[in-house]
Amino acid sequence: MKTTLAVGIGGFFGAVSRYSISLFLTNTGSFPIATLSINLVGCFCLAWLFTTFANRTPLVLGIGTGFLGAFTTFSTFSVETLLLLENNEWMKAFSYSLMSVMGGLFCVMIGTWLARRRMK
Amino acid sequence: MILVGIGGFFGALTRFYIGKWIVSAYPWATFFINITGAFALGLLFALNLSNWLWQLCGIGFLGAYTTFSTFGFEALQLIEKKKSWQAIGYICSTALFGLFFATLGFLVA
Repeated sequence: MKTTLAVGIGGFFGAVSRYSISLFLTNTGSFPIATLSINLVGCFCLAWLFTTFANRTPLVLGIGTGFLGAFTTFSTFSVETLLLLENNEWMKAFSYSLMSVMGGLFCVMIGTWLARRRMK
Repeated sequence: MILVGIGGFFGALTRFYIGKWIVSAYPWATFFINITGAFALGLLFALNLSNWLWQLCGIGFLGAYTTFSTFGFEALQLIEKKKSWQAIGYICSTALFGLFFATLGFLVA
């Protein structure tokens, strides 16, 4: 029950934060910069959090699975890539996908590495 | 803004419980979640919903239901377990199927 509530509340604020950032960071030159930054920052934070706190307490799940899980999004990423392809912006679609996936993996690595270094 | 939050509340919970149901060494749960979410968002986008319904279901629920951070974290965990091929398969299949199913949702609408 506690965990359910924590994940739900985390999800509430994660989605609201994502929406607020997307209103601030309007896409420059039709490139989905908002979703890209959100996903990269979220990847870093989740990796750091889940590596630092291996014990999944309701609070950790609320922040990780709830907030950061809802903050980052895959569906918007897919639809935005599709929209770029529909506009024949092949290079933008390709670089957006590559930056999201490779950048996301890179941010996860940095987050994990920083968390482990701190624990030593 | 409140609508986005309410959608996010239920989106995160749905993801959390699907993750509890589908238990496997390979991250099938997140794969399933992200693919179905991409399909549904493509569908909703093409349907041109009224503003409040889009904020509640599209940005809120489906945005929070799917996740990019868990996807990245799980990919790294596969790499660290020396399952590099599984990691590459997971990354490529999620990205490509996500795009494919978003397109499918678009076309179905």
